[in-house]
Amino acid sequence: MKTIDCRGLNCPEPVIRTKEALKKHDSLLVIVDNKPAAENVARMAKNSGCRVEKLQEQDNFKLKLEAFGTGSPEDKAGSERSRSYLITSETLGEGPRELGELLLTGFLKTLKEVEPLPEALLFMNEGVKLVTVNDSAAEIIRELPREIEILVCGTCLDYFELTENLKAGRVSNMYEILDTITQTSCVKI
Amino acid sequence: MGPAELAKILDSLDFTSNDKNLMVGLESGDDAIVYRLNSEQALIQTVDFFTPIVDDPYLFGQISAANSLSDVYAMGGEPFLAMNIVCFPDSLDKKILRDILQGGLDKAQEAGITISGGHTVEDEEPKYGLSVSGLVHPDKVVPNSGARAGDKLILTKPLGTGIITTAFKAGLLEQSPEHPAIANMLQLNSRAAELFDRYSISACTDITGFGLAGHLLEMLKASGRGCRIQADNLPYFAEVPELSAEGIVPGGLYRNRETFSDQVKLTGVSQEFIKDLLFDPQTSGGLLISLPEEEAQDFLREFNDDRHRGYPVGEVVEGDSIVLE
Repeated sequence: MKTIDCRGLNCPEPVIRTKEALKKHDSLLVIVDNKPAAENVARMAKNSGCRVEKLQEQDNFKLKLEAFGTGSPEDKAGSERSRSYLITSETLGEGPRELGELLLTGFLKTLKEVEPLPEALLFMNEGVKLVTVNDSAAEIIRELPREIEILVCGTCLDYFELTENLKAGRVSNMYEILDTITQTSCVKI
Repeated sequence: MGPAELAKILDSLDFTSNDKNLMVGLESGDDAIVYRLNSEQALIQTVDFFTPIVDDPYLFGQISAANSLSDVYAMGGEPFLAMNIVCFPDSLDKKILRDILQGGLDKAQEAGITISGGHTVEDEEPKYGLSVSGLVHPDKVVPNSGARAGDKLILTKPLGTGIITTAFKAGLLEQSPEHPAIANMLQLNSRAAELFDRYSISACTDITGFGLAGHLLEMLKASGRGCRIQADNLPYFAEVPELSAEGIVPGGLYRNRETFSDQVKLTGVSQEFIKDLLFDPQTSGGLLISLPEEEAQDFLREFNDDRHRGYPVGEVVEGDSIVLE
């Protein structure tokens, strides 16, 4: 793997060099010696469609970057559109409620482990309870990586009289939610 | 140096003074010190200097001078005298130094003040700024400690100069004096200060190296209050969202974030660049003015013209943190 050594360089130089190198290489190992440089390189790489793995986070920071779409054609097709999830109830699936709640909690906890991160979670209908009165779920959702946008249906909050109880995400509207569904590959949970 | 490191050092030193004429000292983290000379006059004293943030020495001189003068305006005062502070390497063409000083001189003239003398030290990297003296009536000092619950917060320049100047350094943006970030850094904060007399300004600070969050928190802490900031109302330069996503972000922003983020509640704000705006270190940034809600509209109407624009960004509330909503 091609290594880019950016030790001794200050922002934005590491970002510029990494970006240049990504034009020629699909995977890179980037070494920087300060945290801002590590954060900036990771930020740029994620936003230009790379998988970012932090290999070392002390003294020197080592980041492994892998561009998507370098594997099979299916991978490439899948990576072209970011994902979003539409969540409309407090349970995953329609079986026993207890199992459904357990599965949904598991789903939310696992989200951050799966790369690439989804672009957005959309909460509608009973789903808005997960970001309001359901404390444990709201906690998990609030802890999700900041890159994931959390959109909560305002009409639904009003209906359940939960607008004041919003604990995660931000109030959105049908226009924005529909736009996200259209722009991303959206899966209903 | 990051704000946390500096605070640690300052905390270990005893700067307390028994001098009753020292009206504003170090304790409240204010922009400048204010010293009562007599019943009619108080002296405002401040100093600031830094390394070039644009390549053009004349522009740099002007921006740095505007930045140094800002602390006086933030206290509600009027500057009248300044001295140059210069660091300059022997190896560089002396014309560069001349242009820097010319920039400072022209900005001082615009502010209606005299620069007389100064001090130069040889250093590897150029640095320039001013030590500025200003005057204010002792009853009209605007400290950063008077913000009251219910006040509106008005910011007088867009945010993002730290991110934009990082892009300048990388050669990603052209450093033209017409670029809105440069035009804003060049602009004196005098216009807002001139209006202070006619409004019940409860607190004011200027936004510089510690970013909006850092300087706002100083104001809130000194006032014993909290605030709500509307993310949608935060003004920024057009390129900021894209540069933020590209990682063209200054190290100072991360230092500010590390220091201040535990006092900032981000309710439902998920866009990275909006969070960046809070922590981006500003050069020659705007004033942040706290004034009664019923006066805010009139102030804005009077302040806004084709070169100036004020942005209502939030409200002061009971509490002790910044809530970004």
